[in-house]
Amino acid sequence: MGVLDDPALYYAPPQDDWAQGDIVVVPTVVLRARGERTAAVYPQPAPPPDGSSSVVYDLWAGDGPLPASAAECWLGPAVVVSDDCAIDKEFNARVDELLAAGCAEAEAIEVARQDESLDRTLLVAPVLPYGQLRFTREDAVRTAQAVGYFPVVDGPEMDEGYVDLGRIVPVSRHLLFGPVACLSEGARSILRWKVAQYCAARNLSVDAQIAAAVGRTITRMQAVEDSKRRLVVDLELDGGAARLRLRQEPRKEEAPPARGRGR
Amino acid sequence: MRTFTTLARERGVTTIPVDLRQTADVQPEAELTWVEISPCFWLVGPARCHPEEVAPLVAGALLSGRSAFPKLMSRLLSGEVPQRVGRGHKRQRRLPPQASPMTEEQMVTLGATSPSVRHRRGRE
Repeated sequence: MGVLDDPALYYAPPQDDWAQGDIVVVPTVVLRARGERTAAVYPQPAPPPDGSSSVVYDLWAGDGPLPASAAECWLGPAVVVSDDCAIDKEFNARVDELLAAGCAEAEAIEVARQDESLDRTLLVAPVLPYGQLRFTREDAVRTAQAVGYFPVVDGPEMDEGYVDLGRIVPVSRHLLFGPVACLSEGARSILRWKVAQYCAARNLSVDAQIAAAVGRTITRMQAVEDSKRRLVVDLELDGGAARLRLRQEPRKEEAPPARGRGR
Repeated sequence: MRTFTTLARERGVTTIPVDLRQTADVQPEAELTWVEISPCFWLVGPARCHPEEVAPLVAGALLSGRSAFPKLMSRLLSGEVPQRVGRGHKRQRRLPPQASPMTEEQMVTLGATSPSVRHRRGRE
């Protein structure tokens, strides 16, 4: 049993303030082109707080050259994905500013706490039921192998589901309701990796494959050159329990030096 | 449960099924109360029976019974979800370790991608 199998390892008591990995109930939104969804007459009653249905409004009138837009909003469970440091970035900068101006630390913290203009928004991503998953295997999401998703484990306070990192949105702190449940440090670490992987560094999965091979024994090796003249090395690990394919791009010939601008 | 269907006519005019009208003793000019449970689901009855008072129960049962997140809905409806004040009253100063500045070369290496996109959808 690991973090993603055991609710006792996956969940933890809440921290004193909002933190990465808090599960909250909050509105989320997708901005759409007008006409993608049928817009409703404003205002509508609040949708159910489980994200099961949405409200769509056209945002503004006009027929200029730019596409007309609409907002589709849900109210439902979501996970705070902002890093803890980002959640309190302006708060800490303000504290530093006050300390530099001669305030005592306790006073500086108290003054900054009262300033509601600091860190007004944080990033959340909605939690969806597995029935909404498309083009991705459920077991890959449950084991946190699929890029763009993070699993929410069934626990005493929260139902199972998955976090759709493709729908990360900034929301006001004032809209956060909860926390419904909070992730443990282990689960937060996996969340951090999945956010980094999805938003910026998908090719680090190559490094992850290599990292997963550490400690295994190479039992067979085959080196060939493929049709693009790349050196390909196939490694068999632990007698075929795993395989690793490494490719080396062909060495490029040095181009003649161009005229340098100089420093 | 008995179920009846009526037609909505111009300006939303509709009729009360005769069986329901007789059972509830709805006389001409009697006031009816309509409660919006969800955009497409209403609870309606004679105003003297105060449908609005039971509407939250109906809404709650509907929401938790149909939801993909029944534990969450049950806790929300029973008021069990604690609400943290969202204004930073308990914020504490964080002192993250200061990372040394990265060189441009280090950032290029970390952010380099492999040209592995198979198909692009295009703009049209």
